Amino acid sequence: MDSRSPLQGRPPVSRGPQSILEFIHRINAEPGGFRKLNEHDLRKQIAAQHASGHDNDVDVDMADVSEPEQTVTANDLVTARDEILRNIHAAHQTANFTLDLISLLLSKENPAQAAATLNPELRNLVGIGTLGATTLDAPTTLAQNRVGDNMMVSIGKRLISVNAAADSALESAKRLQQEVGLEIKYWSEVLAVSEGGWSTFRLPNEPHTLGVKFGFSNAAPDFKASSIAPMRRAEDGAVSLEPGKLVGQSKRFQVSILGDGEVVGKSSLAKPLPNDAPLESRVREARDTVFAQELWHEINREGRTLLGHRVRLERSAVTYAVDSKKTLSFQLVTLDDQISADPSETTADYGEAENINVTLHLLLANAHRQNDRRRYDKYELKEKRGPPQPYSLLLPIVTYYQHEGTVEQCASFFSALVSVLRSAGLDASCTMTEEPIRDGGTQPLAALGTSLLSPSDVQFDLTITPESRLRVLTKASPAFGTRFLVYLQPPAQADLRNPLSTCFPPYTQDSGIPGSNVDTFYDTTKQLFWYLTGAVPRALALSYMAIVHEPRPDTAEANGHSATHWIVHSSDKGLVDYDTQSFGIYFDVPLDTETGLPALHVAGDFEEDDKKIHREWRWTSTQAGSESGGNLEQIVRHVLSNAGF
Amino acid sequence: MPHEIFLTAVVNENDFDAAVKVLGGITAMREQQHISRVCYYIHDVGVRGLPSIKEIQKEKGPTSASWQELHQILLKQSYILHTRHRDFLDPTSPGPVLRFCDQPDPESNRYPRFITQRKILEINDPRTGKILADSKFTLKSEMVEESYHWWLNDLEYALTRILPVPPGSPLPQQVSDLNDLQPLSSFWMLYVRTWVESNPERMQQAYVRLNQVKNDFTGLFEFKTMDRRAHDTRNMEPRGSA
Repeated sequence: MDSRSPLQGRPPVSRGPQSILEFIHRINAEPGGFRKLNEHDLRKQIAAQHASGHDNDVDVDMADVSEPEQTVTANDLVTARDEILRNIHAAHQTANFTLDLISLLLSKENPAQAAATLNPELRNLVGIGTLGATTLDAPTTLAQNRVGDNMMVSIGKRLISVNAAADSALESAKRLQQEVGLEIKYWSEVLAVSEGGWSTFRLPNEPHTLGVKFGFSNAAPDFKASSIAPMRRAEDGAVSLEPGKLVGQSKRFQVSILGDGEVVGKSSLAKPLPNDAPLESRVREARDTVFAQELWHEINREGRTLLGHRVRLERSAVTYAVDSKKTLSFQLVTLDDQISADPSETTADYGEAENINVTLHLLLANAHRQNDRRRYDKYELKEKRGPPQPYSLLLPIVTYYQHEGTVEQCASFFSALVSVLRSAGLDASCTMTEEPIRDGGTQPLAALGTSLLSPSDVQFDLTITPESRLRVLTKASPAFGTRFLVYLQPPAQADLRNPLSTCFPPYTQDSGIPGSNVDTFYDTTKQLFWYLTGAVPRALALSYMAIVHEPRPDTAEANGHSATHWIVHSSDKGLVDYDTQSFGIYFDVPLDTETGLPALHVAGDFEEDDKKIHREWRWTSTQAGSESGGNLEQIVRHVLSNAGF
Repeated sequence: MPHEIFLTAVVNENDFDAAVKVLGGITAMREQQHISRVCYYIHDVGVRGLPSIKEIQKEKGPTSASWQELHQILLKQSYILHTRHRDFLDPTSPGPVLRFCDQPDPESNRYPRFITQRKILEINDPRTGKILADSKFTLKSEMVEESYHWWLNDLEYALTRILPVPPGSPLPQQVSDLNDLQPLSSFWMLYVRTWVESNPERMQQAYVRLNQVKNDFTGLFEFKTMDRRAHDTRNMEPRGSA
């Protein structure tokens, strides 16, 4: 019966086919199937197997199988019958449902016919005609009419959308054209700026925006930060420069000269820019403004250190009082139309103010250059320094004015002295020379910077007598003001020595190293004048000493006087006779108390008509000619020759 | 003695113009060109230290302390010194400056490999030539160095190239004579240098800044790790009896 091979082992003891299905399978498995199946054959087979015994496995199987078959047959039949009944019942139910469905559907269209078949329970539950059906895709006449309309509608809609597309394309083309125009304008301006030498670059924070650098890379850190400006495209294509917080309106630096409180000179200002100026001029304007702001800031910073030089800081101006009458005032002004509308005057004071303005700008540029050089001086391992020292901007100007004042004072002194001496008949002279400004050579800017920083030295050569000659050098320095160096010059005749060198040399200091002297200065004009007023009388005394010792031709023997022995007075400023010291001649150069100018004062004690008389002579610079004075040499000879007794 | 801490990179001849522009833009300054004459001096065999140190010490001038320091160093080990005369073609330039560079410090964990640091001593003294001659230093070789410099915030950026002077030929007297010299290599060296005092915090600051520079320049310049023997200035010839 089993088709399994003996290798598969004994099948588990089964209780035989449990359902009719399994019976059917078993019967199909036999050769012949259902057709050969009949009761008679089956019983014969069973009897034969029973008779052949129990050794055969198959027989055992059959025996095993047949026994349970006999005991379970009744149950199996019942189960099979139940199953058949169930299936039939299910089929019946399904058929009923189908009938109900169709009937309900039919009840809508044809109620009479449906009434026959419809289940009354269903009718009560849902009512007639509650289910309907329609045909899909059945062409109705309404739809047929509409096809044409639909086509028209779709064509119309397509046309509309095409038109809309065309319109929007046109509009975008117009806008692109506009953009192109704006961009051309923008780029032409940016290109002009870049070709003009300004450095343009992408901004570090916004890489899609171009910026231009109009500041200075060597400025103070505050100003360095605001030295670049983004160039953004404004609505009309022009470039809008946004220079940042520090640079608001255009500003410029202005210098005014005040005489007695009133403005007598002003430096010029630029015209303010119109709003539609090209980009390059706007960039230049921004640069000028930030330069002026930096100049103002630095001058204020420096002004604090110069308070001892009569510099005053006010909120909107820095003033420097040159002397009692003249004051310089420095301001930062905002450009607007009114100020610059003044016609440019051409008086000297305006020119001077302009010069000072230009000089200050040049000095700031010089300071920038020095900052550049400081970069690699700093490099030689220093710790962090504080803010840099104030630049010297006002200081050179102050120094220059002081120097000018001093030189003027000296010049008037010297000329008065010379005129006094000349009016006394002496051959005195004074020359004044100024060192010319040296050419810059290979580095003109640096040379200009240094020459601006210190005024040039002035030299006075004074000849009192042909043997006594002096040279006075004025050296201007910012720290000490103008100081003087005095040198004695050798006399014109080479073999003589300047008598002042032994008697009254200018002050020198000995430095440690032999053979070289350190320059020592006379610090003020007062000291210098003191020296000169001391040198002149001594020079005169010494020069007349020489005259006294000339061999006098015949007068002495003729008059019977013994030659008087003259010596230099103890104050060095005169000659007295050796024996009695009561006769002599004395020289002095006092300074007039009002004008400060020198005068020559000579006093003589001599004998006239056997009486000792004392006379004085004066020469001052205000007297022209030699009315009251007379010739000094004659007077001296007269005194000296009449002193004998 | 201060330390020189620097980065090294190589710039091709083709990239030279671009490098100049980039460096000028970063530092916001125009390059400074210098032509320097570099002379290398080597001690004669058997000499140690500076024999003339006593006179230098007596003078007590501003450079005496530096000479003393150099003397102490040379006593222990003989080094090759060099003098650098910046802008030697310009008659107004200051005289040659003597520089002693120690061997670079060995690699350490405190700073990355691409940073080189070495002790350096510079003496600026007009009598340098005479002192070297008195101390038995002889000229070993000389060359002309063409260099471009920029400075920013205590860092020096230098592009340098060596033009060797063949022995026996005269030194160039003018700038145009330099065209006759052949450069040693087809590339330029870029050094990013700073000099700091030899205390740890300053050196640490320098490491941080150089690191920052390296990061900023990624993609532009590649800073290489140099073997410290490339900068070895020791004179390894055998010394005679002292």
